[in-house]
Amino acid sequence: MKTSKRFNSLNGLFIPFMMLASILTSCTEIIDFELADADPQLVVEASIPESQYAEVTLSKTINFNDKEKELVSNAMILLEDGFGTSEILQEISPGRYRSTKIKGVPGYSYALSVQADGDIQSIKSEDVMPKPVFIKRLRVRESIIPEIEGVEMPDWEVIVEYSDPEDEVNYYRFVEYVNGKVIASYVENDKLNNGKENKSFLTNVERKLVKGDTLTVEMQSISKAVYKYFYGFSTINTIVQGTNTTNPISNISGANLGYFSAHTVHRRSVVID
Amino acid sequence: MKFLLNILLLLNIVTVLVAQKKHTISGTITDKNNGESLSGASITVNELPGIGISTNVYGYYALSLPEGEYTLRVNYIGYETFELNVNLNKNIQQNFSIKELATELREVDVFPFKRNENILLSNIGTEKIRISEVKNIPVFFGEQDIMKTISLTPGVTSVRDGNNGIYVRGGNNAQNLILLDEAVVYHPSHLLGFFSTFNSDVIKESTIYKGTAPASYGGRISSVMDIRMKDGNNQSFEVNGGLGLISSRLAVEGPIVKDRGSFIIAGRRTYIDMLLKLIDDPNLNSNTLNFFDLNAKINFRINPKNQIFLSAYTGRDAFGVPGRFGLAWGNRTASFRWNRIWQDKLFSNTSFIYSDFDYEVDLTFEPSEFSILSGIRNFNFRHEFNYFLTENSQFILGYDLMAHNITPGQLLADENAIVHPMKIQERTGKEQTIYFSNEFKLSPNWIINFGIRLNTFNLYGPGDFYKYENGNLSETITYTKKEIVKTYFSPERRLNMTYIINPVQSLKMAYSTHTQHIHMITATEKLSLPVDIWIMSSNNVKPQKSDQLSLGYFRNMKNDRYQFTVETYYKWMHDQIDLRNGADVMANQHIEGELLFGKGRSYGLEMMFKKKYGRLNGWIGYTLSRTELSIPGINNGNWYPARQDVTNDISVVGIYELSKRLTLSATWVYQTGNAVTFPKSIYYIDGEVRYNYGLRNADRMPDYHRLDLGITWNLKSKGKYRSYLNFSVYNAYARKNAFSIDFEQDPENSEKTHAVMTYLFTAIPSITYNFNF
Repeated sequence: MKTSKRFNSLNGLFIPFMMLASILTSCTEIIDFELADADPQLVVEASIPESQYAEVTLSKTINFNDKEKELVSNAMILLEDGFGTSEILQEISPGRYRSTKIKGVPGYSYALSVQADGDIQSIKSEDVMPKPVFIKRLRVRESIIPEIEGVEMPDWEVIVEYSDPEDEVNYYRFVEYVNGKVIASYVENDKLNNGKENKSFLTNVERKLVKGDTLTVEMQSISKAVYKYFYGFSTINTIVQGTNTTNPISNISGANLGYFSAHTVHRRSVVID
Repeated sequence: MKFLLNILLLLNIVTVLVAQKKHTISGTITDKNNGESLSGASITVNELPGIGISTNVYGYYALSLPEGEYTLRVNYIGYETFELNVNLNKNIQQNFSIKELATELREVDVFPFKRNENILLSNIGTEKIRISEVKNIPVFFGEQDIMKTISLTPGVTSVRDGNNGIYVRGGNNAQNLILLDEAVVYHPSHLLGFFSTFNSDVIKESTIYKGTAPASYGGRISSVMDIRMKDGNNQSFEVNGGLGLISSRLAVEGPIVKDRGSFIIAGRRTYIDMLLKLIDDPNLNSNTLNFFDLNAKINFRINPKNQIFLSAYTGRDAFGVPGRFGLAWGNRTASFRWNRIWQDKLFSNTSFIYSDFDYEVDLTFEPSEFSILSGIRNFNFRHEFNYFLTENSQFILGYDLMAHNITPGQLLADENAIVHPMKIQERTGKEQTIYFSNEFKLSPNWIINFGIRLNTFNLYGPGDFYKYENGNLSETITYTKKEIVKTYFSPERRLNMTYIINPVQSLKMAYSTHTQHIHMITATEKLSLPVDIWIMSSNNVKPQKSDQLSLGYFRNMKNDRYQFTVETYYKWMHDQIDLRNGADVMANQHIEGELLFGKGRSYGLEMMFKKKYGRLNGWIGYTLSRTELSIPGINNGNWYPARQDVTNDISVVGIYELSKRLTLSATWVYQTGNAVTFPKSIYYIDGEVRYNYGLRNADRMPDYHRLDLGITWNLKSKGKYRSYLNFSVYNAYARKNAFSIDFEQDPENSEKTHAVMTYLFTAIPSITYNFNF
């Protein structure tokens, strides 16, 4: 089974099942696969991080094995906060747009509307930035999970410790960087551990680290809608949905693909020794 | 339809009224060698063509005839035909013990009688398989498997490699009622579905009703698989066993009191983990990976009128890595049954049944440990009367009470654990059903069987019950213990008509409706992981229902040597359940808010050409079908193919007895690939490649096909000790059948997308040594 790639601690409940599955299902081969060309669709990646300018990337879906990411220029993107401040984002490089006035503030709500490619269809989204939660400690160690023949196991365990606030429902996203490059992201909520001193295990069988590497984890407090969007990509969702593979539910109306996230940012780094 | 039923009932009363002074001959029909009761054996009267009756599931029959002298003939497939002259001038008790035929004598030509039960019985959409008939079919890892064998018949498709589930006439895996001695088996597979929970040493027979089950059965909308355990040899002690590469079996049976009571006890265990112990790697050899089954049954005839049966089953799987996690899951069933003959024509069975399924996951996340427990169980009481009114008419009247309990999940954790302990509220419900059916011969050519089930389901408190709008909680209502939360009344209709054109051909028609209150949310369709989520009908979840209409033509050729059947069906499915996109199913109190509801339809044509007797026997089955779903929220509510939509399904089974010592066998299956959703294009989110999926199930997996071969070699017997070796090759031409197809980026060149196919098996040879004494 090719799904056992990344998950964080609670989703790790599925580890044993996936191990059992992979013991029994380890034969794979690459097959020739013909897919018909599909119409390009707009993809919106929009975020307004805490104390930072909003940034939006517009691109289009491409066919399998097409080389170039197709970016969308000359779009009209309007950002408004809940207090009536609004601005048109500037295109800073092809397909990338940035605010020059509005910066993210926890508790504020933001509205985004996009007009691209002469599309008259309105593309709109709203998001509210939750309160920040901080990483208390970031640990990286070599894995203590015993190896099993034929089963992909992570070499490293990355553990994020933080205190979950008891009085609210929280959703988090962890973005993992190695030497400044994004390698993975994980989402979780506090359904089972509200108010706990939490240890989140970021399990990633593809993570390769060598001495001297800097591993950084960015912790984001995100809204429920953004959580649901990224949860759609998660390993656990892939397992639950089985063969009913679908696109994640976007919080952008008028576009199927993409998200708009107003989130907090807190980073910690560890140098591997 | 109701109108029709009324007319039939009226006609039947008329038939009864004109009947004359009669006597009854009654008794049981058993196997001479081991005393096992034979269900479905027919008793006919030579002097009265067209008159006859079959034994019920306990081997009991009663036949009322006008006073006179008759020659009764007892027929049972694979057994010697037995004839008896009786002078019926009073009620007579007559038991028959008949002898099983040696295989080489099964050639039709040696019988002076017709072998056309398939034409005469009102059994459309039904397959009955006796374990002794299939013991030569090639096996997987040395284990005979009744579920796999059933899936070789038309209308039944196995879920695929790595899953023991079956799809019956477009129904999903969770819509089959699987019974072991009347007890529900919730999770009928081991080791992620590679093996079924039914140890063939202890199984007598299995009957599958593909949606046209008699009124005695209910509770699932797709099919009923009624598996009966052996009673145990009441003539002499017998030991059966087998030694295989990864598992072994042993069964002991014998009389408690000869002719009156017997027992059987059977066990099976895999020892993959014992093989692991031989490996020199300390990380590997301490792991657990095994399953076992234990079946036991006793029966005792207290006096000629009363007989009791007690059967029990338990099976469990375990998988664990010490200090990290442990997984265990299993079924348990127990049934106590009491057969009573009130008077010759009135037979009753009373059953007390218990069954459960649970799973447990224990995890260690330093420094704490926690466990997840989940389970489903039911207590069932059934009381059923069989009334053999006349030679032409038989009634069944029964009452069924089933108490369901679901523990959806609880998380046990100590204070230091990273999670809080939690418990999703238990749910209790009760089903009460009164059922009635009548089979009668309208004329020598017409057999009518009609029935009705009046089913009431109550969902009870205590607990919080929720209302949802678009998946979001809108209202919470708290109920106290035993307070009724929701009631559903569901009448179900059953009608089955057979028209015997002549002794070699008949037409059959059936119409039936079914209701299902226990729903399984198949969280994981690929492998049958034991983490299915069970829910019952509630204020949010309506009972699933189905209506099925089927027509069949049955034809025998060449002196009954060849049987040809063609059946066609149309099935409507209502209130079908699917998960919302991105549903949260883990430890979620609000699982009912994550569901979508819609409808389904399935229709198909099934053909089977069978040669039941002779040195070469077997069958060819072909099914052409379509199954579609329409669920608001998926594909804009448009019809789309269900995962279990299999357009073409072919199965070929051949068994050839080369000599008395050597039997060869082969099975071949071909199935259109399952409906799945593949990506249409790619895009990037935060620099990572993502796949853009199109319409639900608009794509197909590659077609599935597989050949299995087997050789059974009977070794020289020494006195009572007989043994045989079974060699099998599963997937003999090593077809790489796709288990899943996933898309991923080429690790060398991240701009290139690969389709990666996972397959489970190439060719798997196995050998088993089986013995009997």
